[in-house]
Amino acid sequence: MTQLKTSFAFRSAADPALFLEKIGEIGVVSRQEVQKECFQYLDTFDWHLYRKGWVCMRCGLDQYTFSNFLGSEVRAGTGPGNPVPLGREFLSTPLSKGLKSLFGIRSLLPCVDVERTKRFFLLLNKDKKTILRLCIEQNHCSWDGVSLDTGGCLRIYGLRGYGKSFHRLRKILTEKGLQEGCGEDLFLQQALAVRERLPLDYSSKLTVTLDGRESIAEAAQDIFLLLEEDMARNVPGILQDWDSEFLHDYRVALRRSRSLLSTLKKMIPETEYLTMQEGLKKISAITGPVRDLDVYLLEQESYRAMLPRSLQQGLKEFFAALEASREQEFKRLQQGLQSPEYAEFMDQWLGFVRKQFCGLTGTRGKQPCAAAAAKFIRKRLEKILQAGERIDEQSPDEELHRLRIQCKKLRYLLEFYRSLFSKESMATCIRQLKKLQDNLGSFNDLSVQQEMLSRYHEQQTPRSKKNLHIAAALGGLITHLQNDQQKVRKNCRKSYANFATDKHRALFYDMLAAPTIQEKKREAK
Amino acid sequence: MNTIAIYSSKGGVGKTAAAVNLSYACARRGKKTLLCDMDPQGAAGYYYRVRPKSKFNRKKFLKGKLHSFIRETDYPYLDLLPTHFSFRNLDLALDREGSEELKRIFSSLADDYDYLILDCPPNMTLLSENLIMAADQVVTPVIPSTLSILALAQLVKFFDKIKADRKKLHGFFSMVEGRKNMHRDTIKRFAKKKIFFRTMVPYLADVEKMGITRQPVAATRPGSPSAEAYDRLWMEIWKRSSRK
Repeated sequence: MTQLKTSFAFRSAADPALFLEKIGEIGVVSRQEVQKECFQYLDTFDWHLYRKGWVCMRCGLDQYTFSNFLGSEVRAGTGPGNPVPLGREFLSTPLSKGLKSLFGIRSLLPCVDVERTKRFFLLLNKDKKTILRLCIEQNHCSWDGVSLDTGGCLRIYGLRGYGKSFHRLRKILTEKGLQEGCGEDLFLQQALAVRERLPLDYSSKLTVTLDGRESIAEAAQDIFLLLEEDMARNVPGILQDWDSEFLHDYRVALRRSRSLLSTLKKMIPETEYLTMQEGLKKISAITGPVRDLDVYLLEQESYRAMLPRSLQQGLKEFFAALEASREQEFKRLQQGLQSPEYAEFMDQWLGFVRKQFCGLTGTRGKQPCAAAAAKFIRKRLEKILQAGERIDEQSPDEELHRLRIQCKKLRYLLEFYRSLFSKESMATCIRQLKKLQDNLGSFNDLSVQQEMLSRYHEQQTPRSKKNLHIAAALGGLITHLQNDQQKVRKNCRKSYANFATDKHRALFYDMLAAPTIQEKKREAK
Repeated sequence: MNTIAIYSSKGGVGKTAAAVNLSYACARRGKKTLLCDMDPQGAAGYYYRVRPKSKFNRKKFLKGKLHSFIRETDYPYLDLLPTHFSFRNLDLALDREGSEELKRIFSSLADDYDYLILDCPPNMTLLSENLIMAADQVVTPVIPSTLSILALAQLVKFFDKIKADRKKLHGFFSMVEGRKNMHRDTIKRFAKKKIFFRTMVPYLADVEKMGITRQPVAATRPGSPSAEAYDRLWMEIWKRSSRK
């Protein structure tokens, strides 16, 4: 027995009256009860739930409803009671059953407050028998003192054996031009109007669309502005410490900015370049320590899995000490990001970025970005190919580290200028590069982790039982990481060889030599 | 799915009122219920304001195509299969093996419903025989009077004659008027017999008014003595059905 049901969206407050008028054409409308619901929509900063086709609503402190857009799958129940819960806090509740992929390391942030009024109606035939059940839902949304009627819908529920009336009303409303079918995603989208926002308005992936005809300076300005915006948008989340990804995304945007700046070094007046590079470096230094500690704290589970039960106590104490250090470092980070020096530099940076063509006044800055980008990428690729040929199983760590940096720089270039080249070729090139980066990245992470643990290990004095526990646990971890690193090192040569096959080289060079997408479009016209 | 036939060979004993109110009590407890109006007079459909679809008739019923003719009532979990005038000849189409045919027809509803309540016509025809055979329980309303007790005795004999299981037959005193000596005396003599449910349904204006309100008594007068009586009676029937 599948129930007939449908919904029609409306945007204006006058629409419900129109609905009732139309409904009255096929029967007598009988008013029933009115219900009010107050809730908040929540999602991660990067819209993880929405991207997966889900919407989260919270009523009161801890009553959550997770619904897919169509409303065909719904989970409701008690969840974490804190105002900004972390995704992983849901994993221990029945809400996550079958939905584990929705909950990661990001926190769920309140997006908008909603007051939903539900007015129920019955449609009766001449015997006063109910032939349809109806509900008009109206949403009143508010955020930060601003409130707005954002729309709603009419829901129609058919009764078994009375399909004719259902289809008749549906036809009347469709013919009136009303949009049929509305899920919770539409209401969320409408509700966000109160904040002048839209779903998916933030992503940690850089998406920049360039015109091949614009100069390299203009393109640089477009990219820098996007990166600066990304940094600024992540600052509140860092200061509130909602989750570790705000700082991570901030630092990625910062590294991308530094990388682009150094690519354009020769086109920028030297003093200005040095000031900017120095300023960005300082920010990197302010934000680095907390991120480094976050990396370890996020890896707690995998570290635990590396050690036998006898060493777990020491590991627990080690992480407790890391948590304490993070608290101190976080205070420094907060101070740094709220300091007048930081504000002053960011003003200076924005001034530099907004200045006509970022101050790239020379002839080099005026060359078309497509050609220049191809040149930058080719040059970086060649450096990787040169460095890569030298590596083998005995290569010193520094050489692998240098190759990793080169790869990262190439990756940034590909991401900055991807809109200028063939989409398919670019996707393949990035995929191949990513494989190599993953390998080199793992090697580097293991190396950095060992260094940090060794430093910490050396600082432990055998004065207390606690220190002895920690030292034993760290010793165990270092040995484990060393073994892992040896395994990863063996793969480095192979990973590079896979990346640098003739086929992949040809793919890179062909992509760079081919006319850009925009050029092709212009030719077609 | 449990099939419960509300049956009496006599008319005017509160059979349809029982079928309507018991099906409501069953649905109120969250059981998916279908009230099947087998009486061509169509009183059950009238009480629930449900008219049959124009294309429904005896032939469609016998073909077992019931799904598209079932209609939802105004109450959750309660649907109704309206009767049709052509049902008056339903026994002509059913032979002595008709109970198997009826079982087959009703079994197509097993996935959709927990309880099937049959409002049977007041006669002793082949249709009644087949409905008795097809049902898991037969519940018969008995007015506490000599004639009704005789009718019950006849029904017991009828059960034996058609080789129906006597254990599935139960009665309840219906339209009980405490002020009448005959009612009091009959109840005194027979109430403790195993065949009777303990609950008695009083003769009250609420039940008669169902013809005007066209709703079960518990919907218009929740908590009233008649509504409570049907509810208690349902609980007794339900207990027996769950012992099955």
